[in-house]
Amino acid sequence: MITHHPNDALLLDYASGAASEPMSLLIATHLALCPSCRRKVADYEAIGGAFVSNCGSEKISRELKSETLASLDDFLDVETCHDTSIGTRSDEPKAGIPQPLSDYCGEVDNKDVWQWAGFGIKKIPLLEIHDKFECYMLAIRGGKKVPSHDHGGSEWTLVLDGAFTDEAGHFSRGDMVEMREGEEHQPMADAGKDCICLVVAEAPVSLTGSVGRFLNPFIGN
Amino acid sequence: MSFEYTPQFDTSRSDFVELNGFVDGMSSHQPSVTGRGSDDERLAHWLSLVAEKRDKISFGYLFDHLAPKIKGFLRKNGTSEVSLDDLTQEVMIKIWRYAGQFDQKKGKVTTWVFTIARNARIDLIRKENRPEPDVNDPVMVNDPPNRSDDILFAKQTSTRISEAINELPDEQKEILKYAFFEEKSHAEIAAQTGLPLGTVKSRIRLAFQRLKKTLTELDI
Ligand SMILES: [Zn+2]
Repeated sequence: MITHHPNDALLLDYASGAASEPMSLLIATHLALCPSCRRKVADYEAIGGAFVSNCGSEKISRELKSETLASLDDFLDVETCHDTSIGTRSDEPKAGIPQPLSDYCGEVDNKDVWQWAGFGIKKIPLLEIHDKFECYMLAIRGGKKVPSHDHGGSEWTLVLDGAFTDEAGHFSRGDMVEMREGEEHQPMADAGKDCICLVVAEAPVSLTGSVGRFLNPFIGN
Repeated sequence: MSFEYTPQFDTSRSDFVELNGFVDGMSSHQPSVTGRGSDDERLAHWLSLVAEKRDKISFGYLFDHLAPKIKGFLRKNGTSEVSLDDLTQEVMIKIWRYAGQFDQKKGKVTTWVFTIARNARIDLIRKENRPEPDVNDPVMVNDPPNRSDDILFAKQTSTRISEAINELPDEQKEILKYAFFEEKSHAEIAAQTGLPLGTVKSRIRLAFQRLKKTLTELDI
């Protein structure tokens, strides 16, 4: 049962298309696990639809229409791929890394995809080319405590397997927690199972920043 | 929700009433709960003919109604003049290609068109990916049966959603405009307006609460 959801502003960013690729990946992965946030995003998209239908009419040239109509024959077959009625219906959450994240992180059961970072922590860097955000999978060994750290920018953690507890509460599969700049926490993974998370963090301004200090010794490459 | 569609209108252009824009104010207050005979119904009817019969005449109607709005939307979102026609065409061709994926039970044509235009901009102008959940993913957690009926806004006509947006306090409406017309994230809105991040977030939350309340009251 998911008890910690992304806030409305993050869902709006995703629905409007303003969210960056790392943030979209984070939200989309939560959405795969959370029907109630999917309904919210659908509502926000309906607002987007209202904005489109209220856009003033632009002039469309006759050529643009005839060109468009002429190209329809290239796509005569209607492309259906989704049959949403087939989707498995169940209240019972299944294990595993949902799409779209599995496209990015590969097979997490394969030990080779993980990089050891010491102190019971492993990581898989994702989307390394992005300049505004860092994005990585994190595995904290069951029962291990991550050293206390604060945040040089906002940081979002989505739990995918196992669970952890920090000052703010207990977080398990599907839960998302936001840490704001300057907030401090000391997560501890529940005993018995590795806690696997997707983390997106605003990129540190410099490696000597607080995020850098935390990332370098424990999670850094 | 099962929904037997019966066309309630002549598909000729003559009876087509355009929705008023936000700026002009709304004038049509049709108390139509089912939305029959509304813009939404017409668009869905034409789209179903495109999907099932590959009907180019219906596509022509869709083009005449949607292309000017799509182009207007893309311009507001900052698409450069040189790309505007190409991108509008791209969106219209996607509507033709993927017409079969539209599901009237899940929402309106304009909502679906919005998502196509949004994704086309991200793909072709920003050249980024926009990760989405995959409905065929066995790991995906689905609604228990009978829960999908509370997509509140999907049941409302575009006109009524537009009216509800119009009734929002200006400060909340403004933030939705930044989001949907200028493709700004809430952090970018805060940076641009000088408002604290927390204020932007709470205005977004209040705007949705208010829209939900308005639309729920209309439903009774
Ligand atoms: Zn959620």
